[in-house]
Amino acid sequence: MYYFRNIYRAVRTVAAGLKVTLPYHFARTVVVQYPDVEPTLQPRYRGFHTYQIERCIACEACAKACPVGAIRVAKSGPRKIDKARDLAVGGAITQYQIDYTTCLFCGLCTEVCPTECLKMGSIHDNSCYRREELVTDFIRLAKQGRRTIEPLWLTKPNLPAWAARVRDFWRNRDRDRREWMARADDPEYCAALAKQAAPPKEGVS
Amino acid sequence: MTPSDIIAFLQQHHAESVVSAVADGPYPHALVKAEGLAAVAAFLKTQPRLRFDLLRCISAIDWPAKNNIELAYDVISTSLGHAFAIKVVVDRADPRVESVSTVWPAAEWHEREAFDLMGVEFLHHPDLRRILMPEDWPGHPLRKDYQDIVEYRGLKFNP
Amino acid sequence: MALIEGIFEPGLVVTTVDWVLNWSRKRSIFPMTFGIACCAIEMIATGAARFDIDRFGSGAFRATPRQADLMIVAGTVTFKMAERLRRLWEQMAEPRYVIAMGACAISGGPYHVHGYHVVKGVDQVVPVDVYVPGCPPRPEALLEGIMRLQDKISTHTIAKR
Repeated sequence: MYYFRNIYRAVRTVAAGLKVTLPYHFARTVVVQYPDVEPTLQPRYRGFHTYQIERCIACEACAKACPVGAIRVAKSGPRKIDKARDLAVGGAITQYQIDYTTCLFCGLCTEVCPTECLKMGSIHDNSCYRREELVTDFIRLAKQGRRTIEPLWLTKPNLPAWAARVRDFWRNRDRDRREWMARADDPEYCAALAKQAAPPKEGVS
Repeated sequence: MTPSDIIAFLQQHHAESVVSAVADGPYPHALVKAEGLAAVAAFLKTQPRLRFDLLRCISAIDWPAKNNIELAYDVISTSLGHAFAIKVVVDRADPRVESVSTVWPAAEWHEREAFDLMGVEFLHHPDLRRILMPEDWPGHPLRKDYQDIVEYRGLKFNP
Repeated sequence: MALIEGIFEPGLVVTTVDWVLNWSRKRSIFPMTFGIACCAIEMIATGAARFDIDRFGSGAFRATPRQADLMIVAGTVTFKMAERLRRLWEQMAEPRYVIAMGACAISGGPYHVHGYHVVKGVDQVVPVDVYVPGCPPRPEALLEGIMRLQDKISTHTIAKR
């Protein structure tokens, strides 16, 4: 009796499982023609970081939160946010590196960021020929006016339309803030910004 | 049987082996002397009222401050539906304990793993070799005082 | 390298032969069936119907290193595995290529700080051609890695240097 009940149970559970997967057998096959069409990334996809250097106060919270120690931050003095211009002033950021050889893309660094200057971006790939190229210096990128990495595949000629759009989006981003981005590692410039940053409040001389 | 029943039953038959026991809390267990482990294990397996036929896990815990290694054997009974655990404490410098692989064959690989990563030697084990690490690996990696190697067969540990 | 390479005198124009050889090589990079850890799941997804690595001619995953051109190191390389990995690489026929896929293969990844048994970078064991970062990389990223490898192959020449 148990024998037949076991057979019935096996058939029933397999059928219940197949009810989920079997429709895929009859569905239309969809091949993502990847280099020609854009990959379908989810809105909260965690790709390579975007980093707004002029809003970063270099508090090193991201470096402490990183489980693999991939982030290295250094500054010449304390920085603080000037709310009027949405800008960090004071000391200069002398080093900001993310080591993508070990990065896990877990997003813990972005969750602890108090100014939300570090975010997970949407660039999904950075394949390259040398390991040293993966250690990304964001100060060097900021001097080129970039928020995020420009991987090898975005520098190729004859890009498909979507990739050219991605490339131009990141190249043309925040043109009005280029000066602040490029000179965020200059201590004198950042100190001068701090002096400008104190407009006399009313009632206080 | 409830954990307190199991402990009472165990103390009734193996009073000389059971050192102490915890009946309540999330992890009911009995601490057993290392010499009496094989007898207690066979008793747990074969006694009709206990019938612990499945060894789920052997955990080895290193306590450098207390200078001992604790072994926890988690057992359940699939037919009677109760669970229990026995613990053994062995010396850290020379950890030796009788193998229970004759009682539960599943213990064989668990004991090899405990030997590999903690260095506990199981006496009368049929095939006590390293199971995860390479055969010529120095030391036992999950000990608290384990020092990372510098180089293994020409591969630098920290390049 | 392969037998044909290096037998022509420098100055002999071999560009068309080069082009044909490189074209055939880069359109048929057969990877080895070699997944070590969780990145292998993404490698399998790349080989399956949705991302379809066959569009690049790399769909034939060979079960033996003798027939394979490409080793995708997809996962954590332990010290115990490094020996086997090196042996498999040496069994592969020339020309052979290696893609280090994922953080573990590139530098040890999550085991970089506290891993007592992980090789910190597969480039210590075998020479790596393309690095694909990610944890794990998307299937599209692996396809990009294969395209970078195709770019690299198309620069090869059989002339003596």
